[in-house]
Amino acid sequence: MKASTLPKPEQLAALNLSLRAKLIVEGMIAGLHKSPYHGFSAEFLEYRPYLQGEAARKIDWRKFAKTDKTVVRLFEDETNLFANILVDKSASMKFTSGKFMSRFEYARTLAASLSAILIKQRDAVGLACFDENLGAYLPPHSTNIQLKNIFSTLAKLEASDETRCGLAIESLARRINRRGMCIIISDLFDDPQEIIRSLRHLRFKRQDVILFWILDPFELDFSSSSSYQMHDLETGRQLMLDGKTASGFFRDGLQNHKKTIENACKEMQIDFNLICTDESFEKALFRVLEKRKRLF
Amino acid sequence: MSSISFFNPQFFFALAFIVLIVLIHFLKRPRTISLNFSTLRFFTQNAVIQRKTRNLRKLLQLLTRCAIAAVIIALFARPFNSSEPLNKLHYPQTPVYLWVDPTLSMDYTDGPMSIGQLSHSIIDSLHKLIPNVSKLFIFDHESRNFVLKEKSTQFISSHSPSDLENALEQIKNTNFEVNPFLIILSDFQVPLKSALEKGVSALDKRITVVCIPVTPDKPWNYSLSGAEIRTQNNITVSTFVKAQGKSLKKGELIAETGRMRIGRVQVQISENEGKPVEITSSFSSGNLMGKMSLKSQDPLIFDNQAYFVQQASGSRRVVIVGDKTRCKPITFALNASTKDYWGPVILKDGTEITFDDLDSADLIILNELKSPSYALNAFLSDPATVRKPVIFACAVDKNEKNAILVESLNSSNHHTVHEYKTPLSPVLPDTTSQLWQHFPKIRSEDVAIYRRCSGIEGEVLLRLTDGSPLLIKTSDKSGRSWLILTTPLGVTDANNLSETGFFVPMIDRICRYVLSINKLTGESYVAGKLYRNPFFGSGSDMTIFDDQSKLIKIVHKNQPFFHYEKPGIYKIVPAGQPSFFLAVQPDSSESVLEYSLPDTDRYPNIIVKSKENFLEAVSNRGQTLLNNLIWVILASLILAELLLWERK
Repeated sequence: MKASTLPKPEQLAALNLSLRAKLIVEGMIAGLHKSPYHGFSAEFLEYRPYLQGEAARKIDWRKFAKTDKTVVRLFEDETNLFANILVDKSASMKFTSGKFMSRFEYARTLAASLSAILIKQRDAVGLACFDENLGAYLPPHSTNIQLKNIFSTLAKLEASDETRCGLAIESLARRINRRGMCIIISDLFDDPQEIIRSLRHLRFKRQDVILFWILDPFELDFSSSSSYQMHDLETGRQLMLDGKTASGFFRDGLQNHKKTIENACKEMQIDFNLICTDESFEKALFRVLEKRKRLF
Repeated sequence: MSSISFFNPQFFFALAFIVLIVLIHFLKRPRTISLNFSTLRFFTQNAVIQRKTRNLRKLLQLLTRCAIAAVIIALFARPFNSSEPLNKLHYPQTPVYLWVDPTLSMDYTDGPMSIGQLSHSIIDSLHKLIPNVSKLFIFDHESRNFVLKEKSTQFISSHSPSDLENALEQIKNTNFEVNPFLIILSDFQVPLKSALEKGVSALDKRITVVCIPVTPDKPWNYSLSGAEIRTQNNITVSTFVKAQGKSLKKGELIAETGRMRIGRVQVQISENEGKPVEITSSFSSGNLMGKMSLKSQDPLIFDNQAYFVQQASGSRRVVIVGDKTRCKPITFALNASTKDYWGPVILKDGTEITFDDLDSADLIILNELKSPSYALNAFLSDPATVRKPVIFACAVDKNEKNAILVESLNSSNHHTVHEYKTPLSPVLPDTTSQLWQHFPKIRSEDVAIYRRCSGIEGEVLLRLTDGSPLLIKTSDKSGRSWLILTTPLGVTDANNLSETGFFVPMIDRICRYVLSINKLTGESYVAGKLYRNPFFGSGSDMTIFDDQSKLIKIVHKNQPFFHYEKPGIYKIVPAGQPSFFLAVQPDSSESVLEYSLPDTDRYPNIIVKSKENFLEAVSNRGQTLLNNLIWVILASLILAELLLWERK
């Protein structure tokens, strides 16, 4: 892989979302994968025997007339992948340690970039946002209008309210009926058991799940001797803590949280990615695309 | 109840350092940052408790550091228990004056070292215990000044009397910024007590006097005193041997003349008893002077020798006051009596007598005193000023009332003159008394007494044939014995004494007697004591040699007093006069094993400490509960600080 020529996330912060996505995606190699799914399209692929229970309309009656065999025609599918991108827009995503892009900005830039790169590959991309509940949902399509809609939706998003990550994923899982890929971009600051339960649901719905856990570098390396008056961005709760106590408890809590979710993801063959907001998007996208390549 | 004081309270200014610690603590305290954080879900109640605990720990840490600083400052300030006065010895500015008794009794050695040397070892120990040596002074007995003690000192005893008065006087005349200590190391023989108490009563009450008795536990001593030599057919040397505290079971007494041993005798004395011992020898030598030595192992050896001189006569200066012409026979009589015994004999008129004459006289003979000089009047009105033996020969003029005699003797009787138509002669009242033993005649018919003075009270030593007194012994206001002759001496129409053979021996006898009863016979000189220069005012310098003819010193004629530094036999050579030998004895009062400590109830600034308790009290300062407590507190605080220390 070539060294990145993309600007750093914080350098992109000043640009609007669509421009950010274009800049990111233009540098990427489109179509690193070939779709394994088959569907109805103009290009014939092969015949296969009709299976009991299938819809009768799938039978190639012309072939039946000639050969008296019930077969089904297979075509190479153009809309290869149905991907749903789930973006966390809870208030906690607003957190930034200052010099880096906020988690929310990073998440929606990543979501826009992923949408752009997938639609460019003629994959169908849907978008869902959540905070306490599942918010706006754009079902997957592979058109350019869909991409515009996604950009527009993401641009209008504002981070607010508490996270109910598990509940939102559950809601999305109930809506998805087609096999595909589900990309979750969140800080996952919710009850890990709820999150795990919802992820299981997604897997049950035959979704290949990619989980992006977005964290600020400050959170990953929280060590300070200062004293803090902390305000919870979601609940507004306040807490007075000294730096050592805060860093100790946060580090331990985060580690346990990560461990719980990561283990569950490993068990469910979910691609778990910890992304720091100071990492370049290219790096994050390549990680996804590389993993996708392995899967298909 | 104990109370705490500090040697260096100025160190408490450093307590301001605590303010600095507090300031640093608050300046280094982490600033509170307001932070909008993503989630507080990981901060459980424990975190809040831990924060509070951490804050409490920091507060405790601050208090601990302040306490450590305070305790360290307190250690530098050097606390001490002020209820123990000896602790003040460690105060850096406290002057400490040391006086070690230099007298012979401090040579008492009943162990590895003498009590004098023990005193110096105590001082050396004190020197090590007291850190600031620049304030430790010891009394130098030679220069009679306090000098800075710089190094280890040795005890050197002196035959001189105690110079404690000088030491106390010097301290009294010194101005002190800090209350000083006077430490007295002595065996506290009885005479020292009164000298000390008298001196201390005149001292500033802020001066603490610490008495450290180095008195032996069970004192014992053998001693000699009063050696005499008599020569008749044989030489007999006698002395008085005394055993104190322990019986003398097998002592050997040796008599020597010159360097020749003339005899020896075994002596046994019971405990706390004494007896005269004589050694008789047929040996005849020209030098009838020498010493007696007691060979025995006893703690005090200076008194194991006593010196004797057969003619132990220094010159006895007689001042005859009266009409020069009429008194000449007295002068002649004294010069004609025992060869060179009396002398010089000064004859002066009553108006010519000076204080020097009175002061230098061994014996004053007042004969028919009529118009005394100012000095003589002063002496007679208060004889205690110059305590001298006096022979008073009354005037018997009809109008003379002997008023001076009345004034001096404080007698209320009227003195009247008694005249005899038939003269009377003197009769000895006895022949066995010290005065009249071996006197040539019991009665002298040649002597004719025509007039005498009557009405004088006292012990009659010589009577007339009618029983009336001729010589009376009485006392003056100061308690000194006077001999009163009721008739004049010399050329007089009241008697013919000076024309008879009775006169010379009588004058010699009564002069010797008055000297002896006033204990100024001059038979015994004591080393170290001041003596009047017998040739003071006579125009003669006195050269003193030892028995080996080594020059000891020259006493100038204008030097009123002198002393013999050591006991021994000395040859006295007055300029232009015949030389003579005399024996100087060691001070027998130093042999007396009687000790008495000062009265601490009466003199509260006197502290009496045994040598063990003294050094323990001084050295235990660092080991006191107070200091231990502070070190324990400091150690505890440091431990607490270590426990409270937050590792990064």
